Amino acid sequence: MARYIISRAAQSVVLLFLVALITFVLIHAAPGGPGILMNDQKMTAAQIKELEANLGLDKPLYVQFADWLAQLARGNLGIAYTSDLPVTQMIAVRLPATLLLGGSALTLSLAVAIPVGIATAIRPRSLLDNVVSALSFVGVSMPVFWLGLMFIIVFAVDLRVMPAAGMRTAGAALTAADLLRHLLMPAVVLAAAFMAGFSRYVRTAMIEVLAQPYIRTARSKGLAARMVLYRHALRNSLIPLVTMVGLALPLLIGGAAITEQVFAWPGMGQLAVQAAYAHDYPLIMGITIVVAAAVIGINLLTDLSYALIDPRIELHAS
Amino acid sequence: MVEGRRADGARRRGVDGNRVATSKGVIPMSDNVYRFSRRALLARAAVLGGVAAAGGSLASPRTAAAAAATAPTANALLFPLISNPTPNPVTLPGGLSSILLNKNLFGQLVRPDPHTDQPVPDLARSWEISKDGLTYTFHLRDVLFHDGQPVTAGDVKFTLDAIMDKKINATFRTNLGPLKTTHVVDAHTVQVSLEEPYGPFLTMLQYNIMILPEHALKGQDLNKPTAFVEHPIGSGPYMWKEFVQGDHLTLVKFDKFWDGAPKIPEIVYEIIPDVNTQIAKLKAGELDFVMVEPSQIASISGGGVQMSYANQTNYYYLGINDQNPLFKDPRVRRAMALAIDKQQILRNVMLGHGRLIASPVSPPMRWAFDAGLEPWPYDLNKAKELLREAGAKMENGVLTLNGQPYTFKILVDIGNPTRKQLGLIAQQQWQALGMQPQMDFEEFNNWYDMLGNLKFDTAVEWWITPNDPNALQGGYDSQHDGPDAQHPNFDDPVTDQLFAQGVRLSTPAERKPIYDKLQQRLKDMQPDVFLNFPNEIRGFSARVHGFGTVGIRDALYWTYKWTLG
Repeated sequence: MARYIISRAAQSVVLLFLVALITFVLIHAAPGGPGILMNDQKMTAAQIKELEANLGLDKPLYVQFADWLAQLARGNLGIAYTSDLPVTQMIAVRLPATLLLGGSALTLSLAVAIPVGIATAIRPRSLLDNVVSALSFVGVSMPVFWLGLMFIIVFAVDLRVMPAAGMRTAGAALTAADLLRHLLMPAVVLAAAFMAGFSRYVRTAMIEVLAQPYIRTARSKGLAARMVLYRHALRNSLIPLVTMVGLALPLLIGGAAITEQVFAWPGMGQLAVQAAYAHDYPLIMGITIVVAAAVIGINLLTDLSYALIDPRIELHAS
Repeated sequence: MVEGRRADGARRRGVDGNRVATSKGVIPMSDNVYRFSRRALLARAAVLGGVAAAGGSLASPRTAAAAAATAPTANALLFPLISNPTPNPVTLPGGLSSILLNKNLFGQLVRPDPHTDQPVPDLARSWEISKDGLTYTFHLRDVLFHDGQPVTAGDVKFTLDAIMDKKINATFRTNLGPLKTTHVVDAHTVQVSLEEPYGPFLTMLQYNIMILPEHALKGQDLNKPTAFVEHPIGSGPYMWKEFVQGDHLTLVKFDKFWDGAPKIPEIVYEIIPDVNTQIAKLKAGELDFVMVEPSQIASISGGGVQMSYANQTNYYYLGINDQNPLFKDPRVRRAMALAIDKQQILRNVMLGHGRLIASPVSPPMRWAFDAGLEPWPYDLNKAKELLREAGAKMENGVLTLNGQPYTFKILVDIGNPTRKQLGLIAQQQWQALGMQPQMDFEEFNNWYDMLGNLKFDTAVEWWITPNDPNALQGGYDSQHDGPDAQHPNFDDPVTDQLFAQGVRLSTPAERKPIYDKLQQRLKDMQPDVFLNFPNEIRGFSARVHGFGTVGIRDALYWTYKWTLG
C-alpha cells in the first residue's frame, strides 16, 4: 500500500507538470492577450511593446514558463493582472465558497439518489421506477443555467420567498441563517444534475448485484430482507457510485462555473471564467494548478477507497 | 485609453452585455395572478431569453407580504458589477468594474458636470490656461484624503508623473497627449506644461485621471500595488470599508468630503457576473441599478423600476476594412450607407432610444456635434447609381468589381442581442445591392483580435469615447498602425489634417469650425457606415433619486448627491 501511494505521488508530479505546460501553451496560443486588452486605440506599436515588456511578456515563452515554475517552487503563484493581489490569496478566498456549495450539492444529491436508487431497484418497472426514470431524464438533460434562472424567477422574483443570488443579504451582517437561505437554491440546482445520474447508477448496480448467486444464498439462509439489502447488496453496489462521485469531485473543487455564474456565488468557477475572459495569465495558471493538484489527490483517494469498500480489490504499485 | 473596447469587452459580458439573452426578451403576460401551472411554466420557459423574460407583470398576490423578507437595507445603494474591481486608477486592472468603483473613491482635478458632461471644478478650485495654450495652472482646494492627510500639489505631480512613466502600464497615458512636465508651485498650486497646445486637455483630465496619495503609494510598484489596493485611500466622497472578493464591496461615506457629506451612508457593490441575474435581483428588490439592451426594456420596466435613458458618448457602426479592394472606393462605402435603412434600425432595434448620426461625432460631444448635418438617407436607387459610377456590375447574379465578387463576411461578436440584430439587418439590406454578405459570429476575444489585425471585411462595432471629438483620431487618422480594434485602416490626408488642426486649438469656439469640416468629410468618405448614437438604457429601483441624464460612468461622480427613499 505504501509503495503504491509513493509511486502514485511520483506520477502526480509529472502529471501536474504536463497540465501546467499544456495550460501555459494553450493560453498563450489563444487569440488576444492582456497586452491587447489593455491596449488603447491611440497606442502605437512601440508603446504596446513597452507595455508587454513591463509585464514580462516580451521574453521567450520557455523563459516565462521557467520563471513561473521557479516561482511555484517557492509557493508563489504571482500577482493577478486583474486585481494586483496575490493569486494564492484570491484562490484561498474563493475555495471555501466553492467547497460549501459543492459539498452541500453532493451531500444532497447522494441523500436523495441512494434511497431512490434502492427503491427503484427493488421493484424495477414499477410505477415509481418509471416516474423516477422520466424525472432523471429531465434532470440530466436540463441545462443548469436554465433551471437556475427558473428557480430565480419563481422563488425570488415572483414569490419572493428566496433571495435571488449572492451569498448574503446586501448590506447586512453575515449570519448562518442568511447563508443557508442563499445556499439553498444553488445547492438544489447543482444537486439536481448529479442526483439524476447517481440514482441511475445505484439502481443499475443494485439490480445487477441482487441477481447474484450470493444474494440468493443469503436469502435462502433466511436472512431478513432488510439485512440482505443493506449488508450484502448495497455495499457491493457502491463501487460504480464511488467512481461517479470521484468524477464529480473535480467539478466541486474547480467550481461549478455555470451555477456560480447564475447565482453570483463567489467561488472558483466564477473566478476561472473571469480570469479566462481577461487573459489574466497568472490567475489562470494558478487556478489550473490548484484544481489539478486537488483532482489528482482526490483520484488517489477514490482508488484507495475501492479497496476499503470491496476487499476483492487490491492495490499494487505499477 | 478610450473606455470603449477594453472596458466594453467586459461591459458586453455583463453590465449591459448579455451572453444568454436572445433577441426576444419580451413576454406579453397580462394575467396578474400567477398560477404555478405547467402551462404557465412552459410558456415562460419558452420565452426565457434570460430572466429578462421574467419581467414586468408577474407580481403575485403574495409579493407584498413576502417582500419584506428580502427588502434591501435602507441606508445602502446596491450597485452591480460584473467582476471584481481593483482600486488602482493608474493601470486600471479590472476594467469597467474598476472604473465604476473608482469614481466614488478618488477625487480628480476636474470632473464632468452631471447634466452637460463638461469639465467642472473638483479638487481644482479654478485654473488658468496660458495664452499660447501650453501651460495649465490649477489652484487646489483645502481637501483631505480619507486618512486625514491634505491633498497637495505634490500628490497631483506624483499622479501625473506616474501616468507618464513608461515603466508603468498607465491606461490613460495617451489621453494626456503632449503633457511634458508637472511643476509644484506651492502646496496648493500646480502647473502643467504641454509640448504643444492640446485642446482636449481638460476633457481628458476629467476622464478617469484620479489623484492618488503620494504618502500611501511611495515605494510601491504602481503596476501591482498590492498593499494599496487592499486599503485604498482617496479623496472622493466614499471611503473603503470592506471587500469580500467575488461577493461584495462596501464603501462608507466620508464625512469630511469637501462638497458635503454624502446623503446615502453606504454603497454596496454586488458582484454579479450574469446580467440576467442582475435583472432578477433588481426585480426582486435586491439591487438598485441595472444596465440593459433595448430588447430587455419591456421585461424590466414597471413594478418598482424606473427606466432612464442617458447620453453616453457612444455610437454604433458597421465597420469596414477600407484596405480591402472591394471597399477602397468611397463611392462604394457611401452606397453601402445609402442601402441601410437607419431609421428602421433606430425604431425597431434601438426601440427609438437614440438618434441618427452622420459621422462618429455624437450628441454628447456637445459643442462639437453638428446637429444640422443630415445622415445619408435610405435610397437604394442612389446607392445603385454610385456603385455603377464606381464600376461595379452584376455578373452571374452577384455584384462584382474588377472581376471580384462582393461576397464578404459581417463579423459580429457572439451573445449580444442588439449587435446580432444589426448584423442580420445589414446582411439583408446589402443583399438588395446584389452583394452576398455572410454572417460570421465569433467569441469576443477572437472578434477583437480579428478586428485589430484587420482580418475582417465588415463588422458590427460600437465605440465609447471621452466626449471630445479628438478622441476619434485613433480610429480615423492614418497614423495608428498597431493592433487596434477601432482602426478601419482609413487613409485620408484631409481627415489627418483636420484632426491635426483641431487638437492644437484651445477653445471650443476656435475648434468648432474645424470639427464641422471633419464631420462633413467623414460623412462623405464613410470610412464606416455610421448607424446611430444609442442611449444608455438603465433601470433604477424606484427609491433612487438624483442620478441625472449623463451616462453611468459620469453620473457616478455625483452619487454623494443621490438620495434613497
